[in-house]
Amino acid sequence: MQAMKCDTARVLIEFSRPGELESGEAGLLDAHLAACAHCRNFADQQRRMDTHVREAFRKVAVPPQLRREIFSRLGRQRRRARTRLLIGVAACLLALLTAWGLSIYLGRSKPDLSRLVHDRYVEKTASSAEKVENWFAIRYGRTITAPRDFDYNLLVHRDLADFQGKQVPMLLFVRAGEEARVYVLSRNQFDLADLHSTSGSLGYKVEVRRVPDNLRCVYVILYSGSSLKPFLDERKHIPSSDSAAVSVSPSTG
Amino acid sequence: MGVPQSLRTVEKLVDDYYALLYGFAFHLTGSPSEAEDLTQEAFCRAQLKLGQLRDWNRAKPWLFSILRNAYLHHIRDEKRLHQVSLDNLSEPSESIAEPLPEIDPEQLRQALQELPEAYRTPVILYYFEDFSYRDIAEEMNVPMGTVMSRLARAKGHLRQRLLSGRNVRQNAGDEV
Repeated sequence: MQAMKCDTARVLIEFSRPGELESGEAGLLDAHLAACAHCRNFADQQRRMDTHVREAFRKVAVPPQLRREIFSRLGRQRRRARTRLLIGVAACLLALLTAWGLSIYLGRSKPDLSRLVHDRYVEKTASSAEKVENWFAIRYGRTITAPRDFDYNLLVHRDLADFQGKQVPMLLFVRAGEEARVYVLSRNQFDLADLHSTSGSLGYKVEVRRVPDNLRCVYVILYSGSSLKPFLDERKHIPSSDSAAVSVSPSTG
Repeated sequence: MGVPQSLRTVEKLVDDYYALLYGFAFHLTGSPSEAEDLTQEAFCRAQLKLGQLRDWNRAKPWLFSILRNAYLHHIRDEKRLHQVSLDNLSEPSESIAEPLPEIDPEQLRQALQELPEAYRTPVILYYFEDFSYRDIAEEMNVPMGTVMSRLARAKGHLRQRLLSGRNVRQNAGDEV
């Protein structure tokens, strides 16, 4: 094995930290240092200088408040991240709500005014009790018995209406500024026993009539004016039984 | 063996390494205030990237890498004055004062700041943290031969500035 030269040894001495040299090189260097006093002194000097400089490097005064400030800043960063997340979620929700609102707004349909006239025409020409019954059957699937003695030329509206919390068929007749509303009440919705006509108040009267051939229903007629006569078709007038209580017997229902 | 999963938090990293990281930052920047700021920023970045630290035993070089990158980002557009030319970095001088003079911290700081960062970092890692040449090479993403060359020149510069007989007499105020 060839002995190591001083030039080579000095280079290796510069970098000869424990574990940094290959075992073969380390062995050759050790052998050279054992034989060369000059390189041995150089190696010793390098080690002392390294130790001296290393000690100087490690004399660093760490600020006493640094640890606290680091934790404080980390906490602020976490809070900012949470805030950004919340803002992001809120922005997404807002975008979704806006999109939903826009879809509703843009999805609005234009009112068809010509249809309005047509529907009113159809309503007005349902000028018979049979046509009204047919209309309720088709529109709502409800079977009603419309009053036969009313003048259906005076009919201005028919539909379900709210009657004390229940949806009941209602017919509106108008003549010369007076009106008569006929509510068709069913035994299924109300207790119809012992209903009476009343004189009412505020210019209105209430008349209760039984439905011919149908003891399960009654007509409750709210009207203005002195009597129902103006609303009736004289040719079909049926005497009312408004002077008597309308009784609906459960056994005949 | 090793840190339990439940303790692998950024708080644990701070407790274990904040002093070391500050020392590294101080030698890099030469300024206590910049070093404080850089250390805080490094831990903030570590908090964001904690999921990337797969091997907890490599936390120290990982943190040092984060801090160095943060430092490089800061100095990217700065002109560093008073840095010596690479050509002027001398080979190790033989005229070392004996006994070895006390090294003034301010003198050390100035000598380090005279070095370009590419030379300053390896000598800091070598002396301050006893990083191996391999670790320094990985940290800086350069070949080991490059590390050794830069280290030799940087050590020579420090020795000339801090330990040479001529500089010791000059630092003592004697005219040469």
